[in-house]
Amino acid sequence: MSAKTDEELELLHRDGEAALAHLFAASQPQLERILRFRIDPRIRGRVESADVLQETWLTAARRLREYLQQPTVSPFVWLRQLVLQTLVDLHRHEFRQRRDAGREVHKGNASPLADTSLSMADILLQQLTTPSGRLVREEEIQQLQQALNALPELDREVLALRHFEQLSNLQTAEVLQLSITAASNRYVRAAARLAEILQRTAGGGLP
Amino acid sequence: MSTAPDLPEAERHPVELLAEEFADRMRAGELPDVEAYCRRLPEHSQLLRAVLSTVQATERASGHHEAVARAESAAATVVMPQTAGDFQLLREIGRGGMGIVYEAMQKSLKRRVALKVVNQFIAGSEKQLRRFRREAESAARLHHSNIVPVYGFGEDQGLQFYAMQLIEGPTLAEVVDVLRELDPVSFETAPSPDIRALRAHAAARRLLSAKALPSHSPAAGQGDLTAELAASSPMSSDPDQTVLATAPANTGGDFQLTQSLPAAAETMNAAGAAERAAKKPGINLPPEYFRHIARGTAAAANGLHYAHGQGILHRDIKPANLLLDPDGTIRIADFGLARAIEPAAQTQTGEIVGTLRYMSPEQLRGQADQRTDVYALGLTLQELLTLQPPGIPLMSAGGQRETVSLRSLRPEVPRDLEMIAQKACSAEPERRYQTAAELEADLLRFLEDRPILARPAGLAERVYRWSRRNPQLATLSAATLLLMLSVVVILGVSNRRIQRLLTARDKQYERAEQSLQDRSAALQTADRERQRAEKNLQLAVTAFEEVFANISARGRAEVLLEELGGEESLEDTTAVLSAADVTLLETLLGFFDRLAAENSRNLGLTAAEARRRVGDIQRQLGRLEDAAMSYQQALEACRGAATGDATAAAATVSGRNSPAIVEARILHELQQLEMRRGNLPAALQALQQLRAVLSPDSAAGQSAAGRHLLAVSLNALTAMGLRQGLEPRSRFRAATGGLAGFPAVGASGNLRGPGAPGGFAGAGTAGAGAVEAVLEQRLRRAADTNAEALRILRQLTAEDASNLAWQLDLARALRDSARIAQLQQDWPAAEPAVQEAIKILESLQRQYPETALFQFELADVLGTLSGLRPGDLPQLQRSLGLSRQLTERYRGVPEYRSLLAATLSRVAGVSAGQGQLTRAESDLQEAVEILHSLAEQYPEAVTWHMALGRTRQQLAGLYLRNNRVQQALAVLQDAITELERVVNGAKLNGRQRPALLAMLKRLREMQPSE
Repeated sequence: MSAKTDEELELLHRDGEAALAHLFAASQPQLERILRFRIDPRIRGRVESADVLQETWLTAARRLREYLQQPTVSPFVWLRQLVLQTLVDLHRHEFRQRRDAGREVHKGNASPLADTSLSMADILLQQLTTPSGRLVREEEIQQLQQALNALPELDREVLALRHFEQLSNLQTAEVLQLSITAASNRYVRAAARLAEILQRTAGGGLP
Repeated sequence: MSTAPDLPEAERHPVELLAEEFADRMRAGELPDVEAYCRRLPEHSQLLRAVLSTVQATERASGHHEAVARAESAAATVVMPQTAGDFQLLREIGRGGMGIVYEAMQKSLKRRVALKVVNQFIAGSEKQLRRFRREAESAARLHHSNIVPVYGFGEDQGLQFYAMQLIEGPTLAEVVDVLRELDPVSFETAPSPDIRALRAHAAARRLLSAKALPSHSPAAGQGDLTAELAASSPMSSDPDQTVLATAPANTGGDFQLTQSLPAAAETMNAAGAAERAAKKPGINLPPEYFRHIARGTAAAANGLHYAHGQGILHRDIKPANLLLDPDGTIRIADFGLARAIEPAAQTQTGEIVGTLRYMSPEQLRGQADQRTDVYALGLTLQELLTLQPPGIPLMSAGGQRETVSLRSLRPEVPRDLEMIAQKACSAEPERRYQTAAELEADLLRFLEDRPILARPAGLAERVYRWSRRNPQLATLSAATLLLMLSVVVILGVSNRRIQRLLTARDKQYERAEQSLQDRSAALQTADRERQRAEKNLQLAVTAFEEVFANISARGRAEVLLEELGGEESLEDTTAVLSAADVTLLETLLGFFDRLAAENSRNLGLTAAEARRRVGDIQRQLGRLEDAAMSYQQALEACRGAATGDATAAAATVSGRNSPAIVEARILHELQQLEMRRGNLPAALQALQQLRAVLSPDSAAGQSAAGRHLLAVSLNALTAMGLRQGLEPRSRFRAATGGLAGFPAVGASGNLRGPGAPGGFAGAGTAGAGAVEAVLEQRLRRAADTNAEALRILRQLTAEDASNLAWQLDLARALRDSARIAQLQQDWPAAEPAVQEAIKILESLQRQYPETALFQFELADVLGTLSGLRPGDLPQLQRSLGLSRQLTERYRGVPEYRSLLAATLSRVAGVSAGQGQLTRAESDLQEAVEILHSLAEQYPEAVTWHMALGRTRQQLAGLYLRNNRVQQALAVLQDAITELERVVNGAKLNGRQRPALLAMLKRLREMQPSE
């Protein structure tokens, strides 16, 4: 782990919760961003990100000592994990009554959150909207989704982490448990592939 | 930049590195050029182009998505419960950390209220619920016009809620948002058709105008609101009036907030490629705005103070919790984390909640008291002034935020308001306003254009702060030395570089003679470099000034001298220096010497100041000859700079650094030096030159700094004159009759006992009348200089009542005038002067109880005149009390111990006069002990020996009065033996030897002949 991580860990050891509070406050904008990206759109309107962050904070304060005994990831990545976990709990809470047959919510090890490729496709296509209107988009979404599914899952995740969650290469490597070089190369390959896909889908008309 | 730099870069794909850079720049709002990047990496250009196109697409998408998501979550309709107990819920008003606030109708009372419902997701925890209950209970106890009243709380079907007064107005957070977005040109922006936004706009507009209130009081329904908004707009021929007037009118209970979403999305799509809006410069805030803000904050502080008085802290003060009601009154809402103030309240894990942004450092550690709320209100004030949110507390700095200069963010912020905000936001609770009421008071002072208490630490105040912390110079030397060394290194390097640069420029200038453009460019660069170098120097100089201030803050050893009498001081130094002090000073000396030498050529003015400091240090070290020379050099440098450097002279005409002031400063120090050397004519000459430089019709002479300098110089001269005048009438009670009756000037019934042994050779030779005349003349001169100094100082303190240094000097001048009056037998004049001096010093001491210097001066003044009248004893005793306090608190400082010794002998004198001989004896014995130990500790300081001899003499006299001849003999013998040792052993200068010998003579004469 990097020198920055070492410094952060030392401060956490030394000042405990107070240091955690600073870290949390400094990370808040990015954690909110991650939240907004990962949350299922159906419940996005019902849940205040402040609530989730507050819950996350409580959890983090509780689990700090445990984390410090054996820190496997950098503090920010740890916080990210906690946020996602809180989101999972939240989703379970919200969806406990319904089971959406048409969508596969769980994907093995990946987080049972909003399908990455679906949300990505949705988002990307909003960019490529032709003036024709909504109906066309539905079809295009399907097309794009299929194309994105052709990408290895890891590639999808890398792009999502780098651009939608705005993690750095180092953080991405940590989350995906890759080496720095591997993460870097993966990213380049994924981005190149997506460029191809976008080109094809948009019919050559990239903004 | 949201990504932290990753190292080592060698492990990463070059395309990925560039892609990261590209993305970062997009996130910063730029539009980087793909082709330019491709050119940087020709061997991968194809790949890079593809990757960058992905980056563009995804970043745009991500940005857009963010915006949409944010709009969505802000405007979401919630599945709202219909009723909660007695309340019918109407619509959502806002959201907070703990719950959602609705507008509701209280069925039983038929009134509209605001209902806060605890978020169900959070409500699971019992602890949270308990806190919620507690919150409602404590908030319900508060009744204040600036606090939103809580009506009650309840529970219904698992929903917890409480009801409070409905405020039809925006939060300050909303208003600030509006102000931030305002277009600078037209002062307009299209508000979204949303009641909350409209209200926020109206409030913002009101804050920016001179009008304090809207044209009529708040109406009941929303339909009236739009009319009100239209009416209160200051710009009547405003095209956007129509927008406001046609805003959706009364929509009652089914107002859908989601209406705003498609509109928002439209505008965002329309923005196209530049989705991340470039930061607009923002409007220029008018002075009325700041007054409104100050008034509002003062009201909030008033409310807070009330709540604190009820034992309740808010703990979550921020703009979002401050509402503006339609009257324009500030209302504090959401005492969400209110808790009764408990002593040593520590929170447990998980209870540090609340917006971290507005938290004080101690709050982050889990401790909070009323000053925590003051801090948060201060941060809120800052945000209102600058329209920028406060920074995130720094992790590595223990919770402190960087101190921002508000005026650098927004130049139109009034200076006093900035200072108030900064004081409220000090990282240490002790530095803040201790109560919300104090903050309110200062804000009101600002509004009434009165001087505020929160002043920045100018040098004077820094002196007092410094002295409070540690009067002993030596103990700081380790850290200071380190600082100095590092500064020396840095400056050494940079100045040499700048020298070289400047020389190169000079050469370039010569070569570029023909081209006028080159010449001006060369001059500009040289000028800029010089300014930068000067700035560095100034920084270093300021740091070292503080070190000096420390010395002067320790008071004077010369307190004793007044008791001893004598024309000149016996020491070459003012402060009593330990070996460590000397080492420190010598290092400083070397530094400044080098500074002055290196920079003399091109940085004229500051070099003169550096050279002056060399003189100061040499003076402190007792090297008076060297000091005199340095001062002369400084004067030359200064005068040379004044003529040669038009730009520097023009820059600050009457500022502290103007050439005239610098020269005056040097002359002042020179005057002090000459006085110390006993060279009165030279001292007077320096003063004359000082007067010339600070002539009343020059800018420097009229400036406050100039006038103060003159007053201080006059004060010094007065003090010297006084010492001469006091010589024949030392206040020691030497009750033995057989002393050489020195014809004490004007000895009369006012002085008890015969005049004490006088001093010097001249006494016996000249006739009584001649001596008397000379002394009277000196007194008169002293009285004149004193009167002038008093006049100037009174003027200065009237202009600015908060300047500490001036107050102190005024007190000193008053003390001197009292002494002069006393010597002239003019009691009616002496008494009020002393009383006034005491009043000033008492006030200073009250404001800064930690500052030793004030205590010192107060103790000294209280001792003035005392002992000559029976009613003075209480004052003397007070003086004694203060002296004891000082010695107890600052054990190592010799000046305070000598003050105690002097006070003890004064008190002893009075006691003896009143017949309390035993008391007098024990006090004198204690004084002797103190002086004895001082003399042992500082064998080179002849003053202590003299004082010791003197005090022993006094004691001996007392014993003799009591017929305790044996003790008297013993004491005298001790005194004589020791003084003989000093005379024979130590190195004495021209003044010390005769003084010691004279004292020895007197002691011997006292010994009763066998």
